[in-house]
Amino acid sequence: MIEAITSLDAIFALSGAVLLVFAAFTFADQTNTSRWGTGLFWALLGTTFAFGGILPYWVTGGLVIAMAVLDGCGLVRRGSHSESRPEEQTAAAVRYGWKIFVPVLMIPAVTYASSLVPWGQNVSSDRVVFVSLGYASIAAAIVALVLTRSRPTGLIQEGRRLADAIGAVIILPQLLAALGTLFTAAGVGSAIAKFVSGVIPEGNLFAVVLVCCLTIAGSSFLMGNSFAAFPVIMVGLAIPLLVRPFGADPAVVGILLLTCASCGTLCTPMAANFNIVPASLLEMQDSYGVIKFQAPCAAVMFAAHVLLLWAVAMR
Amino acid sequence: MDYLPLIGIAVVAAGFLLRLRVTIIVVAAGLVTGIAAGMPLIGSAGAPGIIDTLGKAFANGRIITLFVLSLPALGLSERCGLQEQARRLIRKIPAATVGRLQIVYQFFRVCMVALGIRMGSGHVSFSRPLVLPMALGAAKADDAGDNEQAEQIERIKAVTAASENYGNFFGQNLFFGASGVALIVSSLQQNGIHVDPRHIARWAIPVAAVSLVVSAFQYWLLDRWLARRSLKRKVKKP
Repeated sequence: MIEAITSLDAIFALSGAVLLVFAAFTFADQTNTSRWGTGLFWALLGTTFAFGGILPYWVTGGLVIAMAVLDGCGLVRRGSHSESRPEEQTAAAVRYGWKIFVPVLMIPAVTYASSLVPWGQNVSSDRVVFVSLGYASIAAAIVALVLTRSRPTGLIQEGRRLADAIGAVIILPQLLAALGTLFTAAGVGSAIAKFVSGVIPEGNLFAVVLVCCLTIAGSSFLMGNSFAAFPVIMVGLAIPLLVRPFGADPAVVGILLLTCASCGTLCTPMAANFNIVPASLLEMQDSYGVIKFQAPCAAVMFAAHVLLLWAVAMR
Repeated sequence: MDYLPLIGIAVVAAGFLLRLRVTIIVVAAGLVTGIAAGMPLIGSAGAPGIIDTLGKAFANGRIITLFVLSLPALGLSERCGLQEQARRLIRKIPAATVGRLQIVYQFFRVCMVALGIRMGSGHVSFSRPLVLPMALGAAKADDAGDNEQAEQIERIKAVTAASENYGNFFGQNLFFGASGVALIVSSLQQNGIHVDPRHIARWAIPVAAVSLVVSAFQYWLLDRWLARRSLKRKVKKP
């Protein structure tokens, strides 16, 4: 029993339940011009959450394609939610004061605290944080409910307001992770490394450094993260062309190439969970607004990486 | 052919150029890549297929989207004056500007990840509920409906998302137990090179320091831009 409660599957089931309730409320939402399509989207997502561990993978894959098609046909839309007026906000701020920070700060604090206590054997240590996050969120919801003496439907309405603000891009991070898996299975990383090692001017240290940095940043730009491309580029390019001939410290080359990849990640819509989902979470008009702001900083950081790696390899 | 797998990347590029929905682009790229690699649509016991690989990876990726569980608590707190309270807090600090707030947050975020403290998405836990209302409060940009302010608010939202990414990306490998450090160790190990994770983490310090300086400069530029804008507004409507 305890084992079942502390498993990640329990948290997925709870998330699925929340999403299915969102779906039910969306079906009943008369303000949404596409309530059936939008509700179906949330219902499908809830189903993949609750039953993703039980359903055959090809069924989950089919549901994923259905969600993408719903969004592609423009059937996932926002309802109009009543935003609180400034005077309501002021009245609420006077009424609840500092206490209103409690549920919000609770989520990170409880997540961290509960990841420190020993968990059952069935939860691997890197997953504990997610189980903790799940229960911390539920605890925060209960505290918010008690603190504000709101009705439980308020929790659902307000949660759904935020989910609606994010919209269909909510599935993008998972979808892109899936695409990354397909890319890796098809050998995209090795194809890039093979192409680059054919054109790289061997022996010229600065050129080698520049090409290694461009390749890793470019790969993470194309694939949305550095983890899939890093081993291929480290082993295929950096070790034979930088570490062996120039005697550069492999650990230093590794860490510099890995953070250099982040410069590519900062500029790409493929890193949806960092660049696209936050834009909709913060209700920006331009979904590429975060990327546009980050691009100049990424360019300077890229140049800094090239210079640092060059200096390190020259020693 | 060796370069055939890259066709998926071409599909992604074409999709973005045609401004199609990203969800559809990604699914199309996945299907094309799988077909190019000669995978069947639905796999059998021996050979994985395209649709089941997609479903399996999607199911394994559910942890990325677990933050939906925290939306009800955040939404209800917002309804009950969270943003107004955050604005009041920042107005008690006269020296606060959007840029200074962002660099303080970024430094805090670097410290957290350097200690190995993970708590899901920082955008959901901090940026939306706390940092954004504070930044808007510091900019005194809250009378909505003003066209000129819309541009400034958009920029403030962008910097709020960026400070979280900068801190997270360039800080996380300061922790020797970080997954990135582990990736370096294991990649080198497979090639017979043994390195100490603490040695890797020490070399993450220069990059983290440079990133703080570069972003502080970008925030300073943003502050100047915002100050010029608000000056113009004051002149315009005396």
